[in-house]
Amino acid sequence: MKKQLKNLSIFIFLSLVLISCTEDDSVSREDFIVAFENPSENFSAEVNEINITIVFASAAPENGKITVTYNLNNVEENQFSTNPTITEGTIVVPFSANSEQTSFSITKENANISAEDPFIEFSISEVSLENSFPQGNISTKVNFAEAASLGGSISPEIGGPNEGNQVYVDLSGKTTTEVFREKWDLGFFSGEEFRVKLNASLFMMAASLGNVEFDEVNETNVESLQGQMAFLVPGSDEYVDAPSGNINETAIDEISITEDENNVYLLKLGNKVGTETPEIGSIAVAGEARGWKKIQILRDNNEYVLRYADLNSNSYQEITIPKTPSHNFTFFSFNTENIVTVEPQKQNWDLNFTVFTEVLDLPEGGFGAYGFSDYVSTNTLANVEAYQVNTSEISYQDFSTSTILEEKFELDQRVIGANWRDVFSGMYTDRFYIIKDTEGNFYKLRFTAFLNENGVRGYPSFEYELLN
Amino acid sequence: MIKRYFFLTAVLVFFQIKAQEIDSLRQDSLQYNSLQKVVLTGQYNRQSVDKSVFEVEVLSQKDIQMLAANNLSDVLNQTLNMNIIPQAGEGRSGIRQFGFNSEYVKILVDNVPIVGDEGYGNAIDISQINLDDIEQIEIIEGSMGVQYGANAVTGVINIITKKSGKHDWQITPFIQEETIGDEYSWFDEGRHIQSIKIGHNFSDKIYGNILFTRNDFQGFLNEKKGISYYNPSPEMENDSLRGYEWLPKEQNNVKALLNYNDNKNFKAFYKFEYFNEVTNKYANNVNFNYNPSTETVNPTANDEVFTSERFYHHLNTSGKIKQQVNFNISAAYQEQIKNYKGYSYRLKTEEKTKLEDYDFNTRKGFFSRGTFNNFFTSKKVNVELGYETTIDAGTASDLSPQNIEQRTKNRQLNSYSFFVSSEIEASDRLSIRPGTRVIATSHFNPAYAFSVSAKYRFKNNYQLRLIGGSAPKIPNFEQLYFYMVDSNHNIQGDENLNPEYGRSIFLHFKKNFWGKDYELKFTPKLSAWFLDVQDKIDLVIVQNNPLVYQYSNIDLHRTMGVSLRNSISYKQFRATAGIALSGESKVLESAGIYNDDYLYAVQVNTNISYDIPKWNTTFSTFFKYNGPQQQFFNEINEENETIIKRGKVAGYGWLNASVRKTFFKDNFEVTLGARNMLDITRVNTSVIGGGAHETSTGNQLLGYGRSYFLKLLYNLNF
Repeated sequence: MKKQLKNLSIFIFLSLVLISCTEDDSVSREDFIVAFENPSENFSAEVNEINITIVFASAAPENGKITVTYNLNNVEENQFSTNPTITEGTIVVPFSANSEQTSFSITKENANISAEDPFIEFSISEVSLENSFPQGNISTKVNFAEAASLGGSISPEIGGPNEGNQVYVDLSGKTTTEVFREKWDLGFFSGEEFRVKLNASLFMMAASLGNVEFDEVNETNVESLQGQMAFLVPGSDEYVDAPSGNINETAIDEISITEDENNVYLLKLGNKVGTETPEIGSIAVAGEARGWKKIQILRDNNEYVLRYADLNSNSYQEITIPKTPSHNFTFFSFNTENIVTVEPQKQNWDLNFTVFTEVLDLPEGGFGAYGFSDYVSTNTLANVEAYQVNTSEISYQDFSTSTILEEKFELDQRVIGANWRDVFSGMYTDRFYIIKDTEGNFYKLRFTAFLNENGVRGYPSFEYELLN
Repeated sequence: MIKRYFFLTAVLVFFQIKAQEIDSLRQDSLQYNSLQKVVLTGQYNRQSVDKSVFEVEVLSQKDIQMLAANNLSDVLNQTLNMNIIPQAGEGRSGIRQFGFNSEYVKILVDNVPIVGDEGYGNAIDISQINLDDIEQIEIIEGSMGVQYGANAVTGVINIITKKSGKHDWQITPFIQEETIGDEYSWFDEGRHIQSIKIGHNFSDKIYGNILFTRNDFQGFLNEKKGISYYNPSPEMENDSLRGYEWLPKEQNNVKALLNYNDNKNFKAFYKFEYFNEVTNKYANNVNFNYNPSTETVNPTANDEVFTSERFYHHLNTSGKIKQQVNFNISAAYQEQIKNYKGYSYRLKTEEKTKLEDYDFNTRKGFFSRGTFNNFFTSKKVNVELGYETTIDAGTASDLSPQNIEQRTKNRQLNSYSFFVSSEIEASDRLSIRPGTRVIATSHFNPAYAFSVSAKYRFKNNYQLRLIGGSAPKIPNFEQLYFYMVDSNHNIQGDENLNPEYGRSIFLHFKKNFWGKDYELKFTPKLSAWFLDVQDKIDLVIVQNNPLVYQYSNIDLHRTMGVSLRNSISYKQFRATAGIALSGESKVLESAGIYNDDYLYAVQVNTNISYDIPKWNTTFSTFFKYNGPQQQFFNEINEENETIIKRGKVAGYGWLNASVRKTFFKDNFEVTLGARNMLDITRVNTSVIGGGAHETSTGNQLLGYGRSYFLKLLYNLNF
């Protein structure tokens, strides 16, 4: 017995040797990296004060100071002031521990600078902490006259995994405009042709019922057609607008001045914006079905006349819809039964982040419509052109004005499309895009995020740079 | 490294201590007692393997010891007609028997099915079944619906736990250290097991024990690069190298038993188990969170933690009523909670932010089973009546990817069975056992199971057994309740599904040959079988325009085969060797286009062990070879037609070897060995599916390479 206990204690000792041990890790401090948020800023007729933000790659470990120097180009010292003020040719910007950015402001003192290309270039010269340095946007250019943005980073707010917004992006103005996807249903073309587009972000579809009596259309006589008007059904591509954006290939035929030639259409209103919270990394863009309408669109001289009703209704509503020459389309909503504002002026947007209806080559043969999320279309109606570049040919960093290949530009709104992202692994990092915007500026553009930090879908970001 | 050497030195010291005491060693404990194998599964009362009408395969405690098996997957990978399918990316291990997945084989502990993801005894993660208190494992192949109810389709695995101890006090601590492939260190790599079991005879009628085991598996990196890794290239390209190939996990297990035996007509035991497992799933890719202003990245990863908890209470009573009727009644309450937590992990600062936290699979319920037999005194006929009740409530994972309420909605299935069977000694050579069971459930129409078994002993002691049986397979929650309908998909479960129906017939022919002096024993056994599952559920297209998928009772799977299993023992040497040839055929009406040719595959297993009583040492090797397996897969050719092709998964072998030696009058045991000596990690496969959202793989992950283990166990008995 005694011996057994002795042996047991040896065993326990050995066990303790096996399971007792400590680890000690010492965490080395990360480098503290700072940069201007944007490579350029603009004063404009409305803006006389600009806040210039300096961002940190990681939260500041302690309080400190950043020293900023500047160079003037056709701007006089008395034509601007800064806060904090300039002392001995530098601006000293303080920051506090745990903050992730700091800023200083610049005010234009003399509103009229007539000299050509007036700007100030600010540069970060020193950071007071150890192991810290500027990197990336180490300088920023403040233009005193209107100029195309040099670029920077934009995170369009498409609304997370429900992707409730269509976001219009103006690259040269570095602005975004968000529009709730359910805000509109039909877009009436303001150009020469009389064409009507569907809200592809709601997965709408339209099928011609021929030259029938409007009131005779009801749920019973369109039932079999409704079955065909669904995604992935061969032939359903007929019921959606050409995804290329070609205005002459809309699902609804050109509106004729002759009333008889305008068919009645069965309109599928698609889906509401989703409201469910999907698994992290997934999307829920499509909510409940929005039902059906019957419509007929006519012309009254240079204006559209929309006739619409619920499927079983024996009466209808009519509304006259004029063209809006400053915009690509005039938009109409069945919810408000009125004209609504959607797109910015046609020259003021280049890209549109949206849910979209595409056409697929089906594996079992034929073509069918299919819904896409995270889609980016280009403003082809205002002549925005684009092409994709593969990094195996040239890297994003190396791409410059001299490497632009004019013959590669395409006038097709699908060039970026969903080609930039891969739903399984995130973004493709082997490609970027060259955009010729509405004003003829050339930009290179690459996507930098598909998900947010927590892995949630619907938080895209891209960076872009003016090529000149 | 220094510590590792220290440990080896310590082991050597033990060997030296042993050398001084070698004379006083006793040998009787090494006597091999396989001659009297007694089984419980499918029997009215415990009886010897040879008397059983069913053909029961027994994995003894000794087999488990020599494999240093710490969970069920470590032993079953040596069993014919079974394959262990590790889901390394999920931290689970599934089982395949006759090509059917783990929803078709029923796993029981002491005759009670354990709670699993899809109900009782069903879809069990066998890497969660700890073997530290096991007497033996009994396996019966074939449909056992009459004896064990629904889902006992391809067979039954019954784990019999120990319920007594020889000594007043029995204290058994052990530790086990294992390498995972060539990865090992004291904390961050390898497998580390600590266990202690205390048994006590409170009186000659009451025995109790309590057991604690901790199993710390640190995962297998292989090509992966751990938690802090992300691809540093400036292109910010994900290379899927973060994390682990096999997920790290830690298991903690507490078991307790109280056994009462009045040594006359009444026995009872209560068994409790608590099991906890935490599996860490590290995302293979990161979000770089590139900051274009500073040109820096701040990578985050979506990591997941899966926590499983299981409670098991089992009260069993058995005995004789009025010196005549045998009864055996079990009542069990079990609970399983599987919890999911999603985190965002910031690689640079090691910060964790919890994003999601919910129970994705919970099951709880009550089970009771009672059998009564020996109603009248007849040597010729015995009748057994039995009932079985299960109340099974819970939620199932993945019922709707878009809606958490659907995913965590509670469902309940109650079932009530009544069964009767009879054992008829038609002559002293022939015994027959017919049986039937009716299963009424709260959801499905009543289902029935039938069985008829016969055993015939020829004059020259050849034994022939013919065993026919059937069992329904209850649809799982996914098949009943799955819901994913959105603008692009329409896939739905069907609450009106019927149970699938499995049938099997087995033929076993064997004899025990004895040498002179009964030192040599040789038992060859030839078996043949046919098993099919009708109305097998699969997803079918129920509507083309628009496309709608739904689960439906549509397919037929069949398997048949022959096997020859031999066991031989001579003095201190014993060996088993088996070979099985089986064919599988699938009638896949669900796919519309299929090829139902039988595809054949061979499996071989062998186990050799040799005792050297003078040294108190046993050497043993286990080898199982799974031959190449063919599979059909669909491919779309250039003319856009679906064509069926034959693919092949390469063959592979599991070879284990170990030495076990006891010291100090058998009080101290050392087992040293190697698993997977052929260093299998992946096998090549040319089976490549081609669906829209499927990815093709060129190989299948099976193991983590050659690993070594050392187990030190101490028996303190007084």
